[in-house]
Amino acid sequence: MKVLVTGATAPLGEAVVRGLVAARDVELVLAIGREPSHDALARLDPARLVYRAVDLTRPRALHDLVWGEARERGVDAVVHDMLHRSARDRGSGVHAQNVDAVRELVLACTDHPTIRRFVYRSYGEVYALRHTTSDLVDEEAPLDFDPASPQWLRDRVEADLTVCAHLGGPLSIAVLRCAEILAPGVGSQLWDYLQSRFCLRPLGFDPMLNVLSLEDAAAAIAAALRGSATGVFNVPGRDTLPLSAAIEESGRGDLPVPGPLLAPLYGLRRWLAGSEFRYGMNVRRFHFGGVLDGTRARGELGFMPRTPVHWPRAWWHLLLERLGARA
Amino acid sequence: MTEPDIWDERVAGAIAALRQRLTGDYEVDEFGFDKHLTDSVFLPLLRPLYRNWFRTEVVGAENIPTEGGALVVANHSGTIPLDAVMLAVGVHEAAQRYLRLLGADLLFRMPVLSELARKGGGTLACNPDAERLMRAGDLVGVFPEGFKGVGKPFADRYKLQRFGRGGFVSAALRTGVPIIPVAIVGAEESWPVLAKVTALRAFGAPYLPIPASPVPLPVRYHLRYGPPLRFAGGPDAAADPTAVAIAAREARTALEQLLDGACAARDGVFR
Repeated sequence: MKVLVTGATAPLGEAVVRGLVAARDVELVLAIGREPSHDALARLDPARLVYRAVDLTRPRALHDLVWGEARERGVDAVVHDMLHRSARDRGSGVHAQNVDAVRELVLACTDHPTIRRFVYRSYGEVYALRHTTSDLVDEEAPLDFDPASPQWLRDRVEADLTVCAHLGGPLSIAVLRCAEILAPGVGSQLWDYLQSRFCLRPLGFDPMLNVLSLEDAAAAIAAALRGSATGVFNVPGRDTLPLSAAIEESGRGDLPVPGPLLAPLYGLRRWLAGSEFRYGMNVRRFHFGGVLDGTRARGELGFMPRTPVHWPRAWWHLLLERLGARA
Repeated sequence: MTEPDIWDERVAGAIAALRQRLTGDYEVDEFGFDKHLTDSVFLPLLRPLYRNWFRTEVVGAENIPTEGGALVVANHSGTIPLDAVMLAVGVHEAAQRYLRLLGADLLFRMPVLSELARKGGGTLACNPDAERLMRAGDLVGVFPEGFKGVGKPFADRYKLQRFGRGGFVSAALRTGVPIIPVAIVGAEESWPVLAKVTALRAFGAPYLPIPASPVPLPVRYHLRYGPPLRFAGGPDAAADPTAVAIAAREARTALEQLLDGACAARDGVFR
């Protein structure tokens, strides 16, 4: 198998590339990123890994990559995970990376002479969480088409649907709607939220969350690459727990606050500390439960979450744990 | 066991539960059901209400399955649905099983109640959640009258309201579990509604209920469990609206008969 991986310099892309380079059934990984070079990838086996800096928002560069080097090297599968991670940025440039690049890439891969499989990493956040919807979100659940949603979310819904529109065509497509990956540098809202010494949550609500580890996300992508099942697959993580327990796991103070106060308080935090966390983006899941149902991924891709997430614990918490373990 | 022994045991149990809580040594299922909190806080708080305040009498407890999934279908009444909570306590008392109550979406919009309902094992009244729970072998409790039952006038007490569109029956048919009808008698008189203020409403509630008394009256509760109802046709019948309607009618008739029997058998409201 020869695989083209976009977003290879991001934490998930890097984990996917590492896994593929280490796999026996993978002959070559063509890793794509925006940066001219990447130290961590440079240390991997150069015989099995080729890194290219390509700006996929430029249609000509994308076309040259897919119909040039990828065709010459006989790439037969593509993993696409190159959406803009930060919720702070917005605008046409971000939209071009999030949506236009996906559209161009999936079009370029359709009817390609060598590419047969396309795995798109989507997001569990595309589902509309309401008080009227089930706690367990399966692949048929309604998507969030709220025009008032931030661009970060609107782009993800649009990109997801753009890929889904090609399902049933000549390209074998798997869309993986992953639960939130709780890790640094992946654009996780929850990770940023859990950095505060005290985490505020809506008083009287303790919704269920499901979080995914970087290792499991990479494993799900690898399973989808090797499988032949097409369609949309939810990818839940191993950790399903109430928000209060997530705060507790991170060693932070759990502070329930009347709901209407949260938006101004987190707005103030964002303004003062320049943090990533947007309460407006999380208001629904901080009230209503939303746990991805991974039955389809388990049955058709053979994916089972195994690795628990690494909670963003404070330094003193980690120190106490180490001292406790030594004692 | 002497009185001091009982208190020693209770204090030791409370300390053990608190310790377990603080160390995080408890599990919460994917719906948010916190079994540890239910066992150590909710049930001990509600039992005196069930045993001493409402002096609940139970008939037909042997009809509650000791294992496997089932759908417990009951009538609904009261200013706030205390009958649902008493039914959950009653099932636990009789069969040591947890009743996973299905609640209206309104419940999950309300602060505090939403959190309590989830931790106590409740979930949204929708077929996917109900079916998942029943397939997993849980007892699921449903009140097909919904708000119509809770908000009905006192003059209509113990008259079953419309049973929706039989969604609960199709869930039972699809999962192949029995339906256990339960008549709850006493809840209608314990906390009747004096008035409904539609001008004062919050969190999407249709009205603010004004109860006739500041606390629920200590009427005697009667829980009468009927024999399990099993319907022919299995999962295929769930897709047939006629079969669903027939099964829903049978469940309603069984519940009505239980209700009439329980009302006729009691000596008075408070006795």
